[in-house]
Amino acid sequence: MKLPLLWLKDYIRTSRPDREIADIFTSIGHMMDEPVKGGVLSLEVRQNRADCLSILGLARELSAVTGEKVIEPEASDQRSTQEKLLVVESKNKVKRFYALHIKANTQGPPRFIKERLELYGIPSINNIVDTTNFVMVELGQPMHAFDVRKLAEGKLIVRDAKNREEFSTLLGTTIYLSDDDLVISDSKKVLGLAGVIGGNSSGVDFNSSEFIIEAANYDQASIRRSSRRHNIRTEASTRLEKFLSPKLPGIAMNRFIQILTENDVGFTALGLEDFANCKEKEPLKFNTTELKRLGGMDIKPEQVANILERLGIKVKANSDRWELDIPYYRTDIKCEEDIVEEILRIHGYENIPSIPLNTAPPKESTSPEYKMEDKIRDLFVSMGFDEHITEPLVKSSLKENEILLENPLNKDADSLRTEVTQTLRNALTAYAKHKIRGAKIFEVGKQYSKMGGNFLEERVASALVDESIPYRELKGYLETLLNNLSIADYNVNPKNSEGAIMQGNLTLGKIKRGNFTLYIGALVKANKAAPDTFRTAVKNEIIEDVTLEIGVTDYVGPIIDKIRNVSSLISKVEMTNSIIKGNEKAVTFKVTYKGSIARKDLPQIRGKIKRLPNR
Amino acid sequence: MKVNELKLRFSEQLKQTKSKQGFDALYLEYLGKKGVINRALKTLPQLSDEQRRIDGPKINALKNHIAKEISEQRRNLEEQHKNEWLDYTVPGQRIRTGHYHPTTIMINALNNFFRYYGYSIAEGPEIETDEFNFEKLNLPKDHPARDLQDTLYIREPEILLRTHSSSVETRVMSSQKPPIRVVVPGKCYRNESVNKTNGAIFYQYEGLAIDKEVNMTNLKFTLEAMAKFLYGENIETRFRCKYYPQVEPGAGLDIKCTFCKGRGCSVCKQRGWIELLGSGMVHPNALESCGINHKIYSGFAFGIGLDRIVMTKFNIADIRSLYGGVLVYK
Repeated sequence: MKLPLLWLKDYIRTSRPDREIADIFTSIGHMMDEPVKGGVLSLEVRQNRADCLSILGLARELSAVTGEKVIEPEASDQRSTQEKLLVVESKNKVKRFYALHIKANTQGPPRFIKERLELYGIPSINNIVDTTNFVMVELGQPMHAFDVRKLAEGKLIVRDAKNREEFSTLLGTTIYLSDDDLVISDSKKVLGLAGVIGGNSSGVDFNSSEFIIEAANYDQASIRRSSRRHNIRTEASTRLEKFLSPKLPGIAMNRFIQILTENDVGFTALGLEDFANCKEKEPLKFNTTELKRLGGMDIKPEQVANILERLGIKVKANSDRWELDIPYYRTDIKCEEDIVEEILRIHGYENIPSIPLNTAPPKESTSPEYKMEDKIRDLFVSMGFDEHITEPLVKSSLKENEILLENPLNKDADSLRTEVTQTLRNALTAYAKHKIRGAKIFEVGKQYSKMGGNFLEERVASALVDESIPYRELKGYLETLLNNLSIADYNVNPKNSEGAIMQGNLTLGKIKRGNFTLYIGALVKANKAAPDTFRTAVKNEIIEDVTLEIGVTDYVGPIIDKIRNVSSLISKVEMTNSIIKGNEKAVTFKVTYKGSIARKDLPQIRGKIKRLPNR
Repeated sequence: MKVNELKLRFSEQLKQTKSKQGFDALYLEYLGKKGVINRALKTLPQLSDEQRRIDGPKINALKNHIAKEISEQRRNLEEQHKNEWLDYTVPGQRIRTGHYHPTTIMINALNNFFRYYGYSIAEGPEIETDEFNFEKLNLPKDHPARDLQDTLYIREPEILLRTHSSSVETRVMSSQKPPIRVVVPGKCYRNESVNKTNGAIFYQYEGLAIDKEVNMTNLKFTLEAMAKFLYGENIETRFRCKYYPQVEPGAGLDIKCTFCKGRGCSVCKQRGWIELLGSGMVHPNALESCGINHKIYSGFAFGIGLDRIVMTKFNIADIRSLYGGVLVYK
């Protein structure tokens, strides 16, 4: 909201420097967006204070802090007349609608209006249009002027648009309305998209002399939807899509009449109609103990009452149960917590002390999955892997279990990855560009899929290595990782052209050429072995090599298991070499026997091992 | 074997020994429990008294000789090593460790910081419902503040990708009874055009503390402590009123611009202060919609965008580098 300081000072006599005014607004909730430039302060007004999208509203805010008095703008006191100017068909969308029928001379605007509008940034057109804009910025109530000559019957109809009804806006664009849009029309055509923008055809020009002036507010949700639907944002729509008081249109109308009475010699008010569909505000009950409970502050009741009064809130005190009359323009105050905030912010947030929580912390609730992920990251880093976090949006490959976005940013990011490796893979390309060999990367994240009506987010850890790293080395990293997680009894079973890492029936993950993935949930559930970190006594172990010849596509893993099962006196079996000879391969195993073995038993065991390929 | 032959053999072996391990092995071979000397001593009882009287002393003499020689040669080797010139300044052969992602480093640091104050880590789904992402946060449909989030939908309007980690707050409040004390590091999504400072995903760090008599003084303390943790004890902070629909009273913590020290520059958009944290007391509507009695319990919540801090700390200029899979670690 642009706040010309010259205009602000019409409503509050302050001699504070510009920077101080900016700081005060910032501390009470309207942040200075840009410092004062050309006499205009740019503020980011609080989203729930529609009343502060007005000079008067901001003057009131300043006054609440400084105590400097607010000078209310003068307004007339016109009452409704008999003339029927209005037909409201969509009653549930209209809260308040004032229509004023006047005769006036269209001419140049008064100087004080032109000056202020120009500071604000709205171009000056003529006295009628300018006055509607002036009142909008001064009081926060959008207004519009219709030229009576251009109305089919001299009456305004407020109704739902018809589906695909055509409408030419003031901006020169043509839009097609929806039946959820509210319009102001005459019996023939749409004159304006209510609360958002006027039409091309009903504008005021220098030949106009008879007008219907409108000041209205509506169901803000409907205005907001219309504004977003057609992507039109105006000074009017930014105000009317918020909660404005239903009293405001009447106040704005009377202000309009006052200005014209003072400045236009040929002005006469012919009729005024008021449509109301709103409730009176109830007084708010406020327990002063809430200030201590939520704010942690002890402020004397007299001081609290003083602050509330400076905000225009009337206080009826009754020990600590107060009854508050909230001014009409404060549509944001609905509950006691709102009052606590008002008191604290005017009193000054800088005056709130800093006190740590003093209750005992609750029981620890971090999930085992989270802790497992931390551990896995540590292990990967210690093995020399780099961590990546990659955006999980990919181009859809039309798989059945893929989750698609309805409104993607672009076609290359229209679905969620079903595997972490899909996006992690891109990182390897970056290393290749830098001519780095031997890149090892990992990501701990989620992969997404849908099954039935359910959306699944699976937590995994995926590792990727570049092609210069042989499979045995990759498998080595996997085994080192699992070993350090105390997961010992697992197998890698060939399945669907990849290796399934299984502990019994539990799938821990899978491994392929160049990458492996572990499922965090399974790792948490897996059986953990007792720690086996240290060597004990120096044992005299017997280590022998034995070479077996097996088929070239026979799996070595199961054979290692078989060798180990030949005798309980075998403590370790490792593969040291594998030489391919045509259809067969000669695989050398290093067999470590426990120290307790008797040498005389060795030949029998050796024999059993050698006979294994023939079983 | 005769003693003299043994002595000769020992001398030969001693000449060949050039390392500490070598001396150890030599010592073991001759003077160990199963070594040459002990074996020789064991054969003494088999000899005649006369022979024993000759050989016994000879073996003992040899034993002492061997011990003395080994000891002396060891000393010589040590002296040699001491005087051997070693270039201490020669460059070492580094090994390459792996690296954590900068966001992980930041999250871990914050997790540890909050652990000290008794906060556990909470998590929630990224694929969320309108109910937990907006409605229960006092953001009903068509609320003016909803626009701030441009949402990515899976099935509009009910199923979406969470736009903030506050959705986890509502999950926690709906499933846990107070007292509650959690932090939430979380990946969030938004439908905004991608540029240097905005990507489709971004990370937030959220905190929530609910109990009896939690109030604004506790919130202020927590935010100031967090700012000091991130920027040092001397950082100047400003606690001011701010609006968020899910809290009331609402507050924000700013830090004095670290670049211009408050004078005003392009980094702080001439304001002199940088917004750091958004926060406030959890709105009674939010508490009630999650089944917590707002008359008995009160709580505060705060949130911070992590990416900007991470990018500054790690000197990354473009957010697309953080999550675009283009980071190459040295």
